[in-house]
Amino acid sequence: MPTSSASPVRPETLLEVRGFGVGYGGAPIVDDLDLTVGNGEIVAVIGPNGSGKSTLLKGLTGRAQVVHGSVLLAGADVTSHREDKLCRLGLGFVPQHKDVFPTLTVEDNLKMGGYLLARSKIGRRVDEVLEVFPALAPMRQRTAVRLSGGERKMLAIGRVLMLEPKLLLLDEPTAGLSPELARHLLHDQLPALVSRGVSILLVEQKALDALTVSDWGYVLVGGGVQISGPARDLLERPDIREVFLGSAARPAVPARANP
Amino acid sequence: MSLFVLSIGFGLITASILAIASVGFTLQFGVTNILNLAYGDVMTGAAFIAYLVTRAGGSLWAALLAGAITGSLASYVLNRFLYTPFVRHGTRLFGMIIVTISVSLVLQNGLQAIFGASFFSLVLPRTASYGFAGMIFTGQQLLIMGIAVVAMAVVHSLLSYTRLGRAMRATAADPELARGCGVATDRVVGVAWLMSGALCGIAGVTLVMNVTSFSSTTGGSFLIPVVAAAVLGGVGHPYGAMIGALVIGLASEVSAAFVNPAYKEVVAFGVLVVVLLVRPQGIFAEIATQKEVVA
Ligand SMILES: Nc1ncnc2c1ncn2[C@@H]1O[C@H](COP(=O)(O)OP(=O)(O)O)[C@@H](O)[C@H]1O
Ligand SMILES: [Mg+2]
Repeated sequence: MPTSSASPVRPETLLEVRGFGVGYGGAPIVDDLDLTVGNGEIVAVIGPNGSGKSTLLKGLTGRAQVVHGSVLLAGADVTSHREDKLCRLGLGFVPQHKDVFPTLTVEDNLKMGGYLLARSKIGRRVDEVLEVFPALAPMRQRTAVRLSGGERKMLAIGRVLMLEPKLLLLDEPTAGLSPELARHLLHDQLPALVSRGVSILLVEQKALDALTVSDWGYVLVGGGVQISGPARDLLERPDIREVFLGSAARPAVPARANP
Repeated sequence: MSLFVLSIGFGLITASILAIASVGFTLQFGVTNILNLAYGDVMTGAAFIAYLVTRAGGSLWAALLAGAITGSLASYVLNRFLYTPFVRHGTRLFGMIIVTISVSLVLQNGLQAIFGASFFSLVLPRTASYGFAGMIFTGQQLLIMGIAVVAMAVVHSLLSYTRLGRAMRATAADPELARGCGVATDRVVGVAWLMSGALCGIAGVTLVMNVTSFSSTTGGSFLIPVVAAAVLGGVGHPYGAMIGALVIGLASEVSAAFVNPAYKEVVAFGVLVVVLLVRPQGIFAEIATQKEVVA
């Protein structure tokens, strides 16, 4: 019996999240969530503002309290591990805000990202990372506060790449970027990273763009996974387009005439 | 004119003690965001241990070492077993100040209960006096300045050239981001308290080396110029604290020579108020970012 579109076989699991509950001391914000990222995949987590996307990533990186559930990274239990341990195990997190050291130069930010490397290897790794983001190369000595939004985000990702992570967690990397820069980051740079052997868990509000570059997608609503499936299929579902286009079109506060 | 030169000499000594003390104080705040107002009383505790060492016949070096170890361990224990649990339970900047004030009172009264409400002096050999360009220093005062210079050089080298220094500066700037770079921030914070505590202890001993007698409140009253120097330099910035110490030390001793020694602290505060009016972020702070306490 033929099916219209065979569900693609997912690659070997790199990150496995089971029955995950995360909160800040009160009732859990993310509740009973299952999610996997396969080797070499880009997996998008999309959902409206306040749906718990950042909280999910904070739970994965020991920044928020895990109430229940487990996290396996390449088979090893890393539930509630803090980032200084996680980055030794190949997980790199680029938070939405406070993602670089603002008073340090581009080069010193990258060197700080290579804190765990042997001193003799740091210089070479900085050069390698600057090859990934050539736009940053002429700005080595520029202080991070003086970078544009796009340059700053590249630096933040570059800082994490210093340790050659297997899995990259990105929290709304395109927030505050111009549409062209956002497209460049999502459509050109993320696939380029994957071709270098990095898998990516991408949290985005720009849902349609995110799904377009992803292999798999999860739609988060009210702290739980509402829908998940191959990104290609999600893109074709009219209800998803409607939810995201609809929620984007509807203003958060009812419009009121100015007196 | 000679009184002026003489008072500059006194100012340099006070500045030396202040520099050691306020660099330690500012490191504690910089790395953990705890404004430890019990700092002066830990200084006093270290001074009493040094006093016991000299009374038992120990040398000044032994007394300094004992003071450094006392300050170091006491500060580490305070942070690890008292301040950190409070922070983990959600006490923030302002609440933590109240906690440290309570610790200050407990330490001060504890020391008084143990040693009594009288005055003490380190048992030290008399040393010759040396004159330099109209300033006069005893051998011990020269030693104090030497210790300050060495301590500042050590702090500078450690922060600038070592991996631990990089970890400390990263933790001070953004603990979560530092952790994301692989820095074990808990351990770094522990080392920062050991190190700043050693400075606190040395400051306590040098403080009482330079006075005829001290009591259980000596360190506590010295806290005012220490905080003034640290704030002047932009709290959390060791180099700022060094400059702040020089400014406060010189200003208070020179004014004491010409006005009235009783106004030393008023002058320290006066300088502070004026600087804060002109440059609220202190002399050195590049960024006045809002930071949370590191848990
Ligand atoms: N530090 C915090 N303490 C308490 N509640 C928080 C905290 N951060 C976020 N929340 C709450 O968690 C919910 C989800 O927030 P968040 O994970 O940031 O959503 P998203 O990233 O999807 O926009 C929101 O209701 C928010 O108010
Ligand atoms: Mg978010």
